[in-house]
Parts: sequence; C-alpha cells; structure tokens
Amino acid sequence: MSSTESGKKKRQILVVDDEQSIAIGILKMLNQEPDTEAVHALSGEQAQDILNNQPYDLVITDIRMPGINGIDLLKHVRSHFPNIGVIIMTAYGSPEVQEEASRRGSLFYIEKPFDLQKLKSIINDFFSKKEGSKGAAQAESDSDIQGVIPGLQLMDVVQMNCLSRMTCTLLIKNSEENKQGIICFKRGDITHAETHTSSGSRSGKDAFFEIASWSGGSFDTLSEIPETVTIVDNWEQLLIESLAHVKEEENDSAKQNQKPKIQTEVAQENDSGDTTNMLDRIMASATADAVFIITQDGFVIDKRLKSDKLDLDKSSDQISKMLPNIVEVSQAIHGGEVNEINLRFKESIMMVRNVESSDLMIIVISPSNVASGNMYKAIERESENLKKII
Amino acid sequence: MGTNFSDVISEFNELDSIEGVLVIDTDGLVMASSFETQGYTESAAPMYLKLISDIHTNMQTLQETTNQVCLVLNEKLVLIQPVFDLILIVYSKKNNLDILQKKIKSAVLLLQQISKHEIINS
Repeated sequence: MSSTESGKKKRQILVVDDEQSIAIGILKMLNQEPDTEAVHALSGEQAQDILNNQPYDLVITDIRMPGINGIDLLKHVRSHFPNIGVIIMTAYGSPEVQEEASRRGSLFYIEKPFDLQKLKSIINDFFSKKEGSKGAAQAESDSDIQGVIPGLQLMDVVQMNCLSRMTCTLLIKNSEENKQGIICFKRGDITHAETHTSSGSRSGKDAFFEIASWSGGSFDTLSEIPETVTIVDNWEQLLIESLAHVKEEENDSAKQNQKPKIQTEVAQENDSGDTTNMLDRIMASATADAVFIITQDGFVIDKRLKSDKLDLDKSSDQISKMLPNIVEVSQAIHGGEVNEINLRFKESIMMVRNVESSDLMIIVISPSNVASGNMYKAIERESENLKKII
Repeated sequence: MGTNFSDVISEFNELDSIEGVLVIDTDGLVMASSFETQGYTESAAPMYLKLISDIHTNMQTLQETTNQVCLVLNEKLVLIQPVFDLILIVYSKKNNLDILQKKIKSAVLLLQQISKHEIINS
C-alpha cells in the first residue's frame, strides 16, 4: 500500500473512462498531488478487476461505456465495497435537474465537460468528509457538491438511466410493505411505470410518482422492456414533478395527521372523481383503441378513442342491444350474474365489464395481441374509482 | 376413419374444470352434447343460436366478425365459438383457463374438418 513521505496513507483513486484523453487529464491533475495515487481503467470490467485486487477510496467513472457501464459499476461498488465513494461523470444533465438534485441533497454527478478544478474541489470535499473533518461535513450540507454518492437512491438510478440513454426496466420491491413496481426506459426516456400494492395497482405518471415516494426496498435492472407506453413526458420534467409531488405528499401527510380522519376520505374521493383521467389510464394500461363507459341502456357517459375507425356511439348502441340476450342466457344456465363479456374479432378484442352495484359498464377495445389480463386489470382498477363516484 | 362429434367432445375429457360441451348447428339442432340431461341441451340450443346471431348482426353493423364470445359469470365461463355452420359451446369453471383455450383450438380444428366434409358431400 502506498504512503506519503510523512507515512500517511495515500488517497487511492480509480478513474474509469473509455475516452483516454479525458482520463489522462484527470490522472495528470490527481497525480500532481503528493498524497494522491490515481490509476486508470479503460472499462467497467477492468475497473471491477482492479477493485477486486486492491482497496480504493474513490472511483470516478464515466456513465456511458461499452460493456459494464457506469451504473453497473456503481451497483457493483455499492454491493461489494460500500465504503468506496463514487463520482459519476456524464453529459446531458440540465441545470434544472442539477439544481433540483443538489437541493434535495442527493449528490450524484458532475457534468461533462467540466473544469478540472471543480472536480478537484469535489474530490477534496469527499476526502475531508471521509477523514472526519467536521468543517467538511458541514460543507456537504450547504455547498454545491454534486459528485459523491453517499448511498444509492432509486431516483439517482432513474436519473442515471436517463442520462446514459438506457433501455431497460427497473424492478423495485418493498417486501416489508408488500409493494412492487417497475419503471421502464427506452433509450433514456421513461416510457412506462406501474405499481402493485395492497391498496391496488397504478400505471403511468401516477405510478411513477408513487414509486418516487416509496422509502426503503430494493431494486434490480432487467434488460427487457414491455411495449406499453404510458408516459410521454420529458424525463427531466418528470423527475422535477416527482420531487415536487413527494414534497407535496409529505406536506399533505403532515397536515392530515393533524386533522380528523374523515377529511382524508373526502380528499380521496375528490381526487378520483374524474372519468377523463380514468379513461386515459385504461387507454394506457390496456393499450386500447377505445374505451367507453355506458349505461346498460346504451347511453355513453364518457369515451376515449385512439383512431377514427370506430364509431363509439354506434358501438355502444349495438352492445346495449346485445345485453338482454346475454342476460337471458346467464339466467337460463344458472351461472349467476354476468360479470364480463369478451368478444374476439380478427384484429381486436372487446371486453365489456359491469361496474359492480351499478348499471354502468366499462368497454375496452384493444388490439388482439394485448393480453386480456391487462385489459381486465385496467378495467377493475378504474371500476373501483368509478364506484367511489357513484 | 373420419372425425366425428364424439372426438370433439372427447377433446375436453381430461379437464375436470369442464362442466359440459355442446355442439349445435345453425338451425338450432343439437349435434353433440356431453350433458347428461337432454332436455336442458335442447332448450339451451335455440337460446345460444339467438345470442350468437344477435351478436353477429350487431357486430356486422360495426364491420366486425366475431370469432369467439366469452361470457364470464359469477360461477362459470361460457365460451361460444362459431365454426362454419356449427357452434361450439363450452361451460367451464374458472380454472385451467390456459389449457382451455388450447383445447378449444383443437376442438375447432376437428369441427372444421367435420364441416368441410359435410360441405363436400352436399
């Protein structure tokens, strides 16, 4: 192990970047310091080998590299060497996101191209903190340090996936609270999110915001992504919104704790009293061509249509005409109430479901390759919301 | 030896979730049935015929042709599948659904053979 002339252990830094020119500049700067020893790895794989053979204090890594990228390396470091600090170098980050990131204190990246002196200052702050300097610990809370990752947070990974233009699915689990969710990325864009908890399931932005509010749990990265697209917002905007959302929820929860419980219930009812959002969510979850809510008389309460190939008013009219016969069949065979009718056509499936305890029905028409389970789940979820309105 | 209606009914024998299978023609005549009570199937046949022709007419207005109808009731499923001039009706409990669709496909293939044969002979 290397030490300085005064016998003090040298700061061991590993710089990981497949672009030699950037790495050389950083190494040159670091190795000028008498108390620092920096080495270079050209890839994530090489970095893992080096780390397995020698202890390091800090890893500075590029995010986009062939093979094991910066995020994979970060996960490896977090799981095998939790005491090693990590600085992520990346391009693409917008000032808004950086500002939001540093404001909430999750310190995660330095944007390329960067001033070497700025990097140096981040590194010094990291070591000051690591070596127990009280002043530096204070500095962490109120300075503009934005490179060190003290602990890997979910939203950090989300952001890094976006920054590195990843195509993957993040699987998030919180076994203690029986929650599970996914966030899907396609070339760095957040395309879909869904959650399944004991209180129900969500998809789209709602699910993303819900996941952002979870504390604790674990996550894993899967290379497969579903075709479902429920989120089209710019990821930076989405992250900022989610941070604001979490903050709002925290404030609401603090306020609600001081109020009688009945006020919470009223707030939830108001929140779900909009069929526009319900239909949008069904359209997204069931990849539907059309969704409509009708009464058993065929009166259309609300509708949503992706293409003009269907005449919804006409469809609802035709479906309502079929109902008396269907009810007659179910009565004749003593099978109980009709809960659902599925009609399979050449290129599409039509699912008609009763909203329990009402004369309303939700009808979803999806392409035939959509799993009927997804259609069922989407309808059931919103049936619950519809029941609240009724 | 040609395929007959018993082969269609037998397709579902190994599934204990099946409550009964019925094959009717477009005149409402029962061609085959696994139900023990004959009176029941005789009365059910015209009801299904009416239902499927009703769905067919309504969906035709929307320029769609219905390949399969599934009624999900509280306690059971009823799958109705037109095959040329025959209609296959399967009553099932709400389990073994993955195998059920495969069995229906096999039964439909058999019914297609029977229907084609009838068409050629006539």
